[in-house]
Amino acid sequence: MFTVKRARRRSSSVPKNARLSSRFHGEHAPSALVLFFPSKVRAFPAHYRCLISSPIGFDMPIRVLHIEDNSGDALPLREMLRTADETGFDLTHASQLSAGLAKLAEGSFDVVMLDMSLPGSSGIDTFKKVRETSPHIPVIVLSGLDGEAAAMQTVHAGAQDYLCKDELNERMLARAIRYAIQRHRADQALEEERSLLRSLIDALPDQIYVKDCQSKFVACNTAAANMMGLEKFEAIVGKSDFDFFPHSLAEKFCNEEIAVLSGQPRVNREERIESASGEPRWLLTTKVPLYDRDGKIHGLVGINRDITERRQFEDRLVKLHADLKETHENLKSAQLQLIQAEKMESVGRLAAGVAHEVKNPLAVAVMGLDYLKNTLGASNPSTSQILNEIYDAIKRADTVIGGLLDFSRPRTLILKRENLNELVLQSVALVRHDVAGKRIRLVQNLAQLLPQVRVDGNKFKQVFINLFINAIHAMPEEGTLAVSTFVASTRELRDVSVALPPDKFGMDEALIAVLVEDTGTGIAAEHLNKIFDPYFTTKPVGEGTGLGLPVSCQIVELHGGVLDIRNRPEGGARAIVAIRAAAGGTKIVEKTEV
Amino acid sequence: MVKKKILIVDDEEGITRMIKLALEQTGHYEVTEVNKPMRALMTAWDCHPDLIILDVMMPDIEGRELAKLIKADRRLRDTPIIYLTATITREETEEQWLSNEIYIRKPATLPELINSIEQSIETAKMLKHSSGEWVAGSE
Repeated sequence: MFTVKRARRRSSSVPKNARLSSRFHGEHAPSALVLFFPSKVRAFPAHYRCLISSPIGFDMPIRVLHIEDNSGDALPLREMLRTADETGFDLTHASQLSAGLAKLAEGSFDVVMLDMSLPGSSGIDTFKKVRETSPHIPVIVLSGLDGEAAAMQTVHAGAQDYLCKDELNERMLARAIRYAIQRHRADQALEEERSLLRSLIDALPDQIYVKDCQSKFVACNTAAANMMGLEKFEAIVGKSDFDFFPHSLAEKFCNEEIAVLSGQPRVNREERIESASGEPRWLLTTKVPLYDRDGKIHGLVGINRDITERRQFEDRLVKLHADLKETHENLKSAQLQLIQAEKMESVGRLAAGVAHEVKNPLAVAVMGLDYLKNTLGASNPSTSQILNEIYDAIKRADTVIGGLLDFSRPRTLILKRENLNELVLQSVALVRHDVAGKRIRLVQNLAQLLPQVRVDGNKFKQVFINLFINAIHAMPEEGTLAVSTFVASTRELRDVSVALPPDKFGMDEALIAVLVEDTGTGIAAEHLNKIFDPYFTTKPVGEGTGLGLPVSCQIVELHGGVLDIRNRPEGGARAIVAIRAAAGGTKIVEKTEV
Repeated sequence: MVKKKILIVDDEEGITRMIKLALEQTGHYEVTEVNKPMRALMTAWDCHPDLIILDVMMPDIEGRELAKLIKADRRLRDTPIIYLTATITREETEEQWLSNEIYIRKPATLPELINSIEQSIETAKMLKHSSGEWVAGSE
């Protein structure tokens, strides 16, 4: 009879597939689930689907296993169920526990109705045996009037309900069975949901934890437990940051959490901590308040992402970048030196050739002059004067050629004790030609007593010439080029805003300084920080290489000095070269000429 | 007073002529010019100079190479040599001063030249008298 009816129900209008997949849960897969697992819905175990399903329906007979030794109790129950719903229940009866357990093991039932007092087993033990055999089937315990306490115990142990045999009636029985099944499925669904969430949370690499209002841990996931050095995440309950971190750090965290617990979330902050094993870690932390149903904050949720590797990569990247920059700078400077060296070498070859070709005629002229002086010199005062003038002119030409030779010789840094006054004068002689034809006044103010410096004289001349040429170019028509030498303390120099790096110069150290000032156009504000960049030039093509100042700066720095260039408040620019006196440099050289 | 015999070797005729004129004008020197450096040795054998002035940069043979040949020659090896050069700097002159060789930078004035000539001849004489074999400049 039952079989026929079941067959009839199965052939109802609901499509077969839909029926199979929704045995209890209506026709459609839950939307949230579709969202997460769109293609997996059918393959997903039925009990997951019930996680989110709406009221459970019973569109097939409920299969009931009734384990009862007393047939006087068994038959009325069958009758009651039939009376309550003729087709709603499919009852199987077992008169012994062993037979019941065997049936339970082989067949699928929706619910077990278990008599508490069976031969060979009674009370809670009977329930436990059923549970062991089939842990996922709801059990309703049937007891006599005297067995209520034991029945209560089974409910605590997991039975869905207990019914007193003497108080049974049809409606109550049917309702109890249906409720037991529903409750059981809801419990199971909840359990599965928890388990799913737990698995998901534990599988996350981020550390997740929950704290109460006292900043004590309530729960955490596996990643967090690992970070704290705990083997089991349960061990975290009741602990606080003070159990895991140094006091100061824990205090900092607690203070932050006070703010979070007052309703201010902290999102994506980068923090440095030390792990349980003492290694430094970087965390990206988020802490948000946890609200209860009434909207009150009752704790917080924290999520830490370990970004140590990222930070390490970043640090490495920064370091690599710095290395690269340094290498680049070195290369640039090497290139600069090479260019300079090559330039110097070609200038040197040229200078040697020119010197040879010019000095021979000069030698002829000088010897000739000496001859003429001896022959004619005494005869006429003006002749003698003319001869002297010619001699001076030759001497000047010789100085220019000599300077060119000095300047262009390829060489390394040849340090010698030099007097800056002399170097300045020699450099001035070499730029006289550039001043010619312009109304430029040359003012020299050289210190009477200037301690010697230990420098490569030719290289320093190169610096001065560069500074002079720049000054002259800044004054296209007229102006004043002033050069002075003096001794000044680092304090005094800093007072006139000379940038002296504190790591190179003391607070009150005496330096020898050369000041070159012009009344020209000055340096445009946007160019001020570029003047030492190689190849930066404002001069027309062919006039400036953009190497003069960088090379000069390099030369001065090679000597442990500084080259500082600024605009003068009163117009024009000023350059200061400052360098230490030669070691033991008490030897004072008097000014040679002004 | 016996005039000192000077041999001057320079490929520039203007220089040798002018130095000859200037030196001989003083009345103390007799100057022989050589403008083809390869003929310098032969001329020296003929005129037995008290001092030889050599230009450093010359075609065919450099002044210093020529000096080596002179030093190697038995008849000439005691003859002091001074160099005339256009391409060295003041610093280098000072350095070579120390090496016992006298360099004169072009353009030198007559007093500078005479000074160097006299100094070299004096030094050569002193060395010759002090020791027969131990002569400065012989390598």
